[in-house]
Amino acid sequence: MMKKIVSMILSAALLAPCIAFSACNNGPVDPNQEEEGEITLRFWNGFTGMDGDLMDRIVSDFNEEYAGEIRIVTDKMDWDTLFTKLTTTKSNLNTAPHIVAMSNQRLAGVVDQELLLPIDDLPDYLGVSESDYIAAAWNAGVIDGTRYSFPLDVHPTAMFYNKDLISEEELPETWEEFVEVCVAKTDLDAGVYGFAVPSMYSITKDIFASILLQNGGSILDDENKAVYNSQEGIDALQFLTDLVYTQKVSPENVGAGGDYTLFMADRSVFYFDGPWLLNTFGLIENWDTSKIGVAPMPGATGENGVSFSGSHQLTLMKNTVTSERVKEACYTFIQYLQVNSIEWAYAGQVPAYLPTLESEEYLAIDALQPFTETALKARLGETDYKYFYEGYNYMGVAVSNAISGKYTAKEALDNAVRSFSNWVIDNEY
Amino acid sequence: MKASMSEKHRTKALDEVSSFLFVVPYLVFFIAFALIPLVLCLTLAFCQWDGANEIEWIGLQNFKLLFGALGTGQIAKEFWEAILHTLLFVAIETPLLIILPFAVALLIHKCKRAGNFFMGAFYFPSILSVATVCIIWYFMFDTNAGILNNLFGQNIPWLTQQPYAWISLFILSSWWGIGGNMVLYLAGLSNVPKDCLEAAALDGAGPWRSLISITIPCMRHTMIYVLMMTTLSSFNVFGQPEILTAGGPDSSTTVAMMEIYNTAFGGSKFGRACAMSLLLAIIMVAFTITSYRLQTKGDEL
Amino acid sequence: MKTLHAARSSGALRLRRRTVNAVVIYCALAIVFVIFFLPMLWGLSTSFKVEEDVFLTITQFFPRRWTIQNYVDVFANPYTPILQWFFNSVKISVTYVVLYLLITSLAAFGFSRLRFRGREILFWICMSSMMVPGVINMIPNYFIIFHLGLIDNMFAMVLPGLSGVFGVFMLRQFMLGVPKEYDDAARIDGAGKLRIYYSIVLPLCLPALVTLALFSFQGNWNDYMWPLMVTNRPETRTLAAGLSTFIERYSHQYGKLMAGAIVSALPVLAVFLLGQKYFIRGISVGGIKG
Repeated sequence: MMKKIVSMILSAALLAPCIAFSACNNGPVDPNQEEEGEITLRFWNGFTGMDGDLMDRIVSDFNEEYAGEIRIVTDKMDWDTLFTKLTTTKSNLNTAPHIVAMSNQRLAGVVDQELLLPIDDLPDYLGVSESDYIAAAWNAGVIDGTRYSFPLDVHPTAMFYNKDLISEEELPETWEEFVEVCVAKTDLDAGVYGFAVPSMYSITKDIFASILLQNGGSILDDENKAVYNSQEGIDALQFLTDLVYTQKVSPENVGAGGDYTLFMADRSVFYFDGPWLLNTFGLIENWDTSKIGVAPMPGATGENGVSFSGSHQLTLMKNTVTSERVKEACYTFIQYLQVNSIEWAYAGQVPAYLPTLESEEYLAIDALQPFTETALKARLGETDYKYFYEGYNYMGVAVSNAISGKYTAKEALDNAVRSFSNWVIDNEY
Repeated sequence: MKASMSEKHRTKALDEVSSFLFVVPYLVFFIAFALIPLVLCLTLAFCQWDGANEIEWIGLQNFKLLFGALGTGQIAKEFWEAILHTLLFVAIETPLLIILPFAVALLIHKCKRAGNFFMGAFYFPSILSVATVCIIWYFMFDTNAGILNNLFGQNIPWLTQQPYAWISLFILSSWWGIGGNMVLYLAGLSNVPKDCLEAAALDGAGPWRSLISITIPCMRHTMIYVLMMTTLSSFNVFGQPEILTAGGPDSSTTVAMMEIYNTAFGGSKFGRACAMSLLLAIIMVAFTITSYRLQTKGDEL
Repeated sequence: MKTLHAARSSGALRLRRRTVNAVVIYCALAIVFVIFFLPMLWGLSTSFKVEEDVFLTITQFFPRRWTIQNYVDVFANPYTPILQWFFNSVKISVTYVVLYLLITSLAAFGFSRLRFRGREILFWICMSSMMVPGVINMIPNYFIIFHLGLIDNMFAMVLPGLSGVFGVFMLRQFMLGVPKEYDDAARIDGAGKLRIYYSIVLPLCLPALVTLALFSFQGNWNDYMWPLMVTNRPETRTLAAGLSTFIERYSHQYGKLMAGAIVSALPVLAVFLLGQKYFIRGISVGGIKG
């Protein structure tokens, strides 16, 4: 009882100035509440890289086409700032967004804060079903049977290679071949390595997760318990560790960005990263002339191929999308993004909408095809669990500890699983 | 007689009010943007709040969790390890940032010609943003392709193994921080009365002797200021380990501010983050007061 | 004759010793300078390297092929209005520094030289705010700024910083070193408090004021987390906040990153070099006896 009263007083104390300020600071009535006239929608995203330029262009095309009806205002900020601000949007509707793009890995956490509007009727509105989309991305938006987000793209990890050091015919398709090629290409006298394995929290954990999935393991089980310390996980991590200490195709202590540095200095044959690097390398325009090529990650394609990936999702906010009219305007924009998702492909992302992937224009973008093959077979992990992101980060520490030689693969993974499950218990208090 | 007494009282009161008016402009901003947040932080430390929904009073639960009296102790362990890392940083970096800039400032002060040039050069790193500094040093420290290892033909795992990761952080932070404190020392040094030094020189005191018995005592206020500011900013260390080592290897450079930041913004646990800051603040206050006491005591002697 | 000779030789000895001292000092400075300069030189030369050369010639301090393309790209990109950011930053930082110096010097004067009830307690309450990590202030301050209707307004980046107690503390420390006799003399001449403040204490504090101006300018100029919080539109951002989005944009293009970093650092360096003159003049003017 006492607790409840104190809680109420506290909430009131925090909200009172807000209400007082908004009363004198009301200004114009939210135009979106009117029955007619132009609707202004705020669209928040973290596409601060070059992909953001293309998103801006899509938005301005949309604004032109729907002039007088709907206007989209884009607010771009880095992802950390976006989520920080998002938690505080409940009380400040004037600048709060209507549409927010976010990673599927953060979705469940935001759902847990009760900020998102369920959008179960969106597929019907768009006239699409699961078969029109990359299945993993489609399903990532459904949490406990309710749809909260709609897929925009999938961004899997692929294998970049240096054409000066390896020819297309020699490219490996399985990890066994990968090791063979790396051993053959490593030339310690010239300082050239097969693949510099980054030993700090970075892309290595995505590679580990992919091998884990390929071995038949998984990150979390049905009850959301971390199980990456299974035999499959230990084998996967041992494989990566052996690249450094047994086959010695990688230098030790590569750090977090050392893989990129060595790759760009012509001292590493392979480099793994996401499709956003295509624009950094200028590969979409200069596919034939660049010294860098890209191929699917070993084991990610083919009949039993699978790999770990991420996906950008679009969400609507519960507090701002309050009328049917505004909601329909949001849906119109999402539909526009879906129809024009080929534009988004040029940003270096694999659109989740299958008809786009089959279009001639898309197939003509050579640089994206290795990513597309991978994306079609990708899995996104058990991201409907609100602590998936944290569990994934604990896994990252384990991967890094094993590769830097501090623990054996088994010790590192066991530690991470134990720490994570303890952390979950603690965090519930 | 009585009338003049009250008159005196009134002028005295008026005097006090007019004196007080000097600090009012500052107090307005202090209350709005520092005191209210401070009070809020104190209150939230006993609450649960995700930043979006209702605030719930939970008493001492946050503190129990942080002292390991609740749950498995995992969060307590991570928090106190981070505090220890911060203390380690403070214990080593603060003396470095007090002594090194002083030495450099003394050299520049003695330097008659190119003093301004050196002053500008040493100050330059401190105007760069932390992200820029970390990117530059990243290429210095990279084990396999980095400049330091190539220059000296070594293979030191600067950022990926301990104790090198800490050494890297100390080098970077000193490089970044020397300029700011050096400028303060130079301002202080210029206020050391010349005639005292000359008198000491005439009395046959060597440079070392006059440094100890004249220069340093004369710079008492500057030194206290530098000491306190450096201690506080060392406690708040965040950017360097976040960007340069990402808290690794094996969370060994994860500092308290990173834990607090991740709890507040990564995990949306603002109440717990406030409790963490409160504990960090208590340690800071204890540390600062002790060092302030030691300093002033040393002065009195 | 003999005494003359002795005097000359002792003079020569002193001269020689002075030269040796100077050489030692310059050598020491030069060594420290080289250590300091290495990373700076690397950053500077990288900004003039062709992008693909950055990694191929990572350990070469001078570019193989010189280019100013990085600087051109940084300025020419329509999505990064760097000039607009620059002007925003100048406007905000200058406003901030002027207001901050005024407010803190008044407060420091009050806390160091005037008497009123509760002075010490008030001062230590203010000091205690230094113990609260900035991260914790961010959320409440964000609420306050939002409800003042200041999102995307330049004052959102000016006002909260005015609560910083650093300046009060620093100026108070400095004012404590200014002898009280000056005030008493002025008071006998009939000067009021305000008069003492601006005609005696402020001029004597000039070196401290210049130093504080420099620090607060630098802090305001380099802050990027807060401006990102309180601005939504790119055109209202400051240079540092804009550049932090820049870091993501060019996360692997170090030539452009370094060009951006140098462009943003130059104004602060200019302020420093400008201030340096005043700094030295301020020192020769202020006859403060420690």
